Amino acid sequence: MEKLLEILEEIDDSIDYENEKALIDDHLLNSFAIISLISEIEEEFDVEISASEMTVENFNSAEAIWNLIQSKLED
Amino acid sequence: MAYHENLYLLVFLPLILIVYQVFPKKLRPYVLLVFSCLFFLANSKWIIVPILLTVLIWLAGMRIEKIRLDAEQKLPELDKAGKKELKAETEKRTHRIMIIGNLIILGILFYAQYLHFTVDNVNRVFSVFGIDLALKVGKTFFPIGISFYSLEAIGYLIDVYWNKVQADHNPFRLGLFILFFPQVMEGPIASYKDTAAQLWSGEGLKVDNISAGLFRILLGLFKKMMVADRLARVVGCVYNNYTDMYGFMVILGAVSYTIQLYMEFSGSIDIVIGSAEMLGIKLPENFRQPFMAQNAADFWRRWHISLGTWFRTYLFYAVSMSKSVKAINKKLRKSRGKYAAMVGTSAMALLPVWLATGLWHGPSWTYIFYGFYYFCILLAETAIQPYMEKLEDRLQITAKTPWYAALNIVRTWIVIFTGELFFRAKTMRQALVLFKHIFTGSFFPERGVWTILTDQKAILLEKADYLAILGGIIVIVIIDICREKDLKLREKILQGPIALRWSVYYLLIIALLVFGAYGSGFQAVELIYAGF
Amino acid sequence: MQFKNGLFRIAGFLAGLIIILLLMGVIFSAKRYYPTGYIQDRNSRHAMLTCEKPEQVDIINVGDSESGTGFSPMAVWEQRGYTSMNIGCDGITMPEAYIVLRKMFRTQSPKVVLLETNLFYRNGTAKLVKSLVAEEFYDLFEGLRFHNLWKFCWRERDSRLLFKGYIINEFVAPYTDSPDYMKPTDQVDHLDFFSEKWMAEINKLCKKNGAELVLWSCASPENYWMAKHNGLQEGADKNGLTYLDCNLNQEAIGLDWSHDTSDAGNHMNCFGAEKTALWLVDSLDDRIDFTDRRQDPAFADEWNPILDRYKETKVVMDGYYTDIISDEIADYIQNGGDFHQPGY
Repeated sequence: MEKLLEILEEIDDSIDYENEKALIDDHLLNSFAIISLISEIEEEFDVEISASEMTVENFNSAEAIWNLIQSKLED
Repeated sequence: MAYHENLYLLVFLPLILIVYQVFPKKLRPYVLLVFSCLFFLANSKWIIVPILLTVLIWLAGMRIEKIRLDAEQKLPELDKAGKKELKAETEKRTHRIMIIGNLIILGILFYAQYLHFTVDNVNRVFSVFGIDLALKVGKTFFPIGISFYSLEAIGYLIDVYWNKVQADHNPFRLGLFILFFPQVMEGPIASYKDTAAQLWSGEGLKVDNISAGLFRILLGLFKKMMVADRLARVVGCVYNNYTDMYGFMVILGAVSYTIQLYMEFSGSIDIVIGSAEMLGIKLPENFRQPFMAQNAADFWRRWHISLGTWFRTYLFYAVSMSKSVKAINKKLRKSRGKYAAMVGTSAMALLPVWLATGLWHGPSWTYIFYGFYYFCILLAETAIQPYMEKLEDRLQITAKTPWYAALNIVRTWIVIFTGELFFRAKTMRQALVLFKHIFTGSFFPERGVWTILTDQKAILLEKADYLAILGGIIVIVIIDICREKDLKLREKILQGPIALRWSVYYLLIIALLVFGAYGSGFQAVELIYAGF
Repeated sequence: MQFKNGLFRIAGFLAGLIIILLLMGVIFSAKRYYPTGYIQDRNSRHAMLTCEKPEQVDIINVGDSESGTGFSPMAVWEQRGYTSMNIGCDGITMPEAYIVLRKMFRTQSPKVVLLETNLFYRNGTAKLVKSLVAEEFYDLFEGLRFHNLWKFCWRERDSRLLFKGYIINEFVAPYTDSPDYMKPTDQVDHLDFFSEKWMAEINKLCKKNGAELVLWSCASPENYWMAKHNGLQEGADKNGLTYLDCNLNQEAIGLDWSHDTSDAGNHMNCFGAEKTALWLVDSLDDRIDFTDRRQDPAFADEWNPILDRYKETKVVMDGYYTDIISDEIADYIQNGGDFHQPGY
């Protein structure tokens, strides 16, 4: 989780990731940021995220992103 | 029968509300389906096309499900290697069905929309080399709204393949999802998850819903009848006389067209969403105060949202998450750094998205240019963003600093107006001639701008009409600012005392009936997006 | 149950709406504003109808621009002493014609209704239904029809005068092709379902009000050909109506294509309109008992001053309109369609 927050901070440091629950709904992260985020995550955690997982629910909060990574790691 | 016409508002819509309510809950979805078919037939005889699409995605969806279920049954009996193989096999087979289904949908769309255009251009290319192919195609068909429900059908199929939704076994529900009358002409493009279940619920009418829907419809009519239909005349004057125009008039034309398009498209979407709301169905929003956007990317998150969402979900992510793009991304990160990788990936994913977005509007080079234009602008925005951030830090300003925000908004306007200048043109030649007029020749007409604008012969508007336009724009700007600030004006009015609510309704109605552009023999402008 | 409660509210709301519509009728009243010259769009003939004294005319002429420009009531008054009026408008649809006739019969009892036939070929189901719905509403609430009067504070008075529904146009643009465009043929452009239905409906309406419906076609190489004539003749026969086709009677009318058309064979100008009107009236004269009212002071006192003004205007306007009309015509010819005065 620490690592994920670091990545997120690097993309945009003006957002309070621990409490923000509507990263996508409130348009805090745009699609370019998401693309950068995913390439960072894929590198850092050695997982692969596919287009079908690009849903609002999966990226709306740091926790949701973390859960996505966890589910990938368990596979 | 379009949404702004008396036939729809005074006859069709009330009739469907009554019939819907009279029928028992179980049959109501079928009432909607029957009326949706009638609505389609009133506009175009090619109802076979959406029906075909429905059958296609119905069968394809169930087939994908069947393959998966079969695989699941077999799974426990297999060893690890066998499981893996079966999974890969299932993936391959479902993928194939999804691809074939989508190719058929795209093929129909291509045949209806782009065949003539393609053939014309092939002929033209060969004639450059002195070869006269003279390929000819007969008349194709154009079922109304095909660009909208084709995307919905494709979205459903991919969603099933991605396992985001369960394949629907009920062809009628799918048919209603595709054909639902308010959406069928000009969107909003909904995903299956958004609307299908609601459409099929058959919930009874509620007075609150009807009154909320009515409010929305009145607002939409206000936009169209007060502003859009009048500005259309100014725009028409500029574009019809494009060879002989003045810089100022061109700018005025582009700005007018942008306002006209917003008023007309968002207005008709208001009517669409309001109609659905009366039936208790919530459709996705399509606009979010687009003219308060800070940059072009922001604009596209606020303008024709349902189209942007569709392209982002099914094309942008699909391209940027594809193996080859990811591989290139990785390589670039290693060799040139993160920044180059980000710009490179963006370029690769944006280009197909924006060419497709441009083409989606229709078979014309101006639309292709329009797409390419936004590709360049958005790519430039992405590329300079890190530098802008540094600059902002140094100047100690943020996007929230008032003057800087205002500057950004105005800058974005210029981008938008320029784009729409090309978008409205019939040919690239017309667009370029107009664009050139801005910088060459005399800027102001010698006769004076106001003389031309009130010239009954040129524009057919009176002085009073400009007052109506101005008044209409002011009202809409106030409403949009309230929305942007999240003041929940609409909710306050709808939940307020009945006296307040009714006065607002009556005021809107009086404004429409007195100041609106309508009347015996008046030709309301056809819905622009219904032609796409 | 909540819904039943709601029904009362909806009914209350609609009642308020009707009050608003009626109030609009009081404010935007044709009676008050027609004489001021502020009603300028294609509703002006509706306004005229509202203001006209009852029981004035023996002949009513209705139809689209072909009829409006092709029939001059003042010429009929001057030469024959019969009273007549034009009440059509540009691009009129069949339901629109029906509704304006219905309105006319509320105050007038003409002996003959002349219906120009071009409208029977202006179709499109949606257009018909739309105009039917709209016109019924305008008919019910006149305030809607004349709502554009709100603009009058910013408007200049129009000097274009209606002479019992006719606008003088002296512009000449000769038609140079062969006047022999009605080539005999067995082909028939049949009336479609809706045209047949509306023709029968209009006939019924006239019969009920004691008027004879007569179909006529204005001479216009742009709009008429033999197969269309045959279709109209067929329709007329079915309904037992008289059909007068100017296109086949150019000589009797005395048409001069180098002088009598304002836009190269699409519409008549003032000279053509006078000839056409007289020929139409004369064709019916031996069968229908029109009254010469020139000696009847009840009529002469009103109609003679109008005739004087008509003659004066013809002299003054010689050339005056050329400017306005010719631009419109240029547009018209370019667009190849109906030129609508914007009805905002």
